[in-house]
Amino acid sequence: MTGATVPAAPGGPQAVPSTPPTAGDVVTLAVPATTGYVGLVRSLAAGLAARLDLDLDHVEDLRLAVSEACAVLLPLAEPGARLEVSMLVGADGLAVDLATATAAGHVLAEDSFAWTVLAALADGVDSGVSGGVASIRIRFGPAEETPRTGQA
Amino acid sequence: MTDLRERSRALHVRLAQLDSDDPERAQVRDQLVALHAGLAHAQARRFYRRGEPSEDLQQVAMLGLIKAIDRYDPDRKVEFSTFATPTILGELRRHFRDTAWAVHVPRGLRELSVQIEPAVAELTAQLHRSPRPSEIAARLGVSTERVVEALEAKDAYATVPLETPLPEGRTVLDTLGSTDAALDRVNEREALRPLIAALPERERTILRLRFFEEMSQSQIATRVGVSQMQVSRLLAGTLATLREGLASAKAGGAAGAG
Repeated sequence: MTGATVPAAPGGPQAVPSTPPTAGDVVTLAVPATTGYVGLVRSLAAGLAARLDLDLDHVEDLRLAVSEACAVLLPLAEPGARLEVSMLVGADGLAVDLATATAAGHVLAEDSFAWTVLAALADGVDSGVSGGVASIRIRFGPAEETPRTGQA
Repeated sequence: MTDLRERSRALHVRLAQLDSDDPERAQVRDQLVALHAGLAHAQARRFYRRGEPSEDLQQVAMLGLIKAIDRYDPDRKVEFSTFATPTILGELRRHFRDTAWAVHVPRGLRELSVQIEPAVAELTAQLHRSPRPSEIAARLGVSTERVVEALEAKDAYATVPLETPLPEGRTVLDTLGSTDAALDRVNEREALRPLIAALPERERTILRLRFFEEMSQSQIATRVGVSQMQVSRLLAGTLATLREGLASAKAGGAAGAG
């Protein structure tokens, strides 16, 4: 906080955050890998997406996608495992990684209904098991490797 | 009053004698519930006008009464009504604590939430896509952060009725046939077909448009005649239903077909 007087938002005491989320920022959350925390993960993801100023269709799709990804991962989680959520802020979107310790050999078949749902909701979906960790990554907005021409 | 007290005591003594699986228990318990229903109602009335439907409060109070009946020990020298009152009140308080947030959303946010839906509808029509929070903020003359907070508040206590009928003149296309074709590439199709067929027609249409025709939520909202928020909620409910259905189909060892 500097000494500058930022007017409070009308109707509320909080000041607007002075530094908006920036590409490259990472937001992480770890919760017990149980269904009771899905709502929290979903809210956090949707809250971040809204603060990145994604349009509402994308915010709501992200919410659904996070639910779906959790529904896939949680049954695979080892007892007592945590669900690690890592959200990477992109230039015009975000990527959400969800991961948990598992004894399973695979996460998601590409001909499964859950995959169909995730692929329709997100701009990119990856999943896999590596070193006893099952993960799903869902991406909203253009892939970072392919800079988009034109303006948002 | 003495009469009620004596009947209550006799019933409680009887209840205490019965085994937990004795069919007579339910009858005795019902009589006790009927006898003391007034007590539950009186406690529920204390909580009226806090924004909860009174029938809900009555049910919560009755639940407290039943718990009290199950826990009461007639050997203790405490009147049942004395024993039951804190249990019933506890149940009502817990109900309020669990649903508290619907009651405690700050007023300014609630008012902003109410303004958001029409703003979203106007902007969607104007932009031909759903608006960004910053665009809603500009329209309403508030900060983007306030809009984000209001969207979150709206979502968390959303109780918008979902039984919005399709507007007259809009016909839902044959949804089942085309969904069926789209399902061909999904390996759980045999288990999914009956689940999808069992969905209400509007839910089925929305599912198809979003997942098999890849329309956006706001396009679907326009097409089906509900708000985008409702599309989102309906989709969330539908996906949960299908997930549960698929899980129980797997658990039941059904369908080796495919």
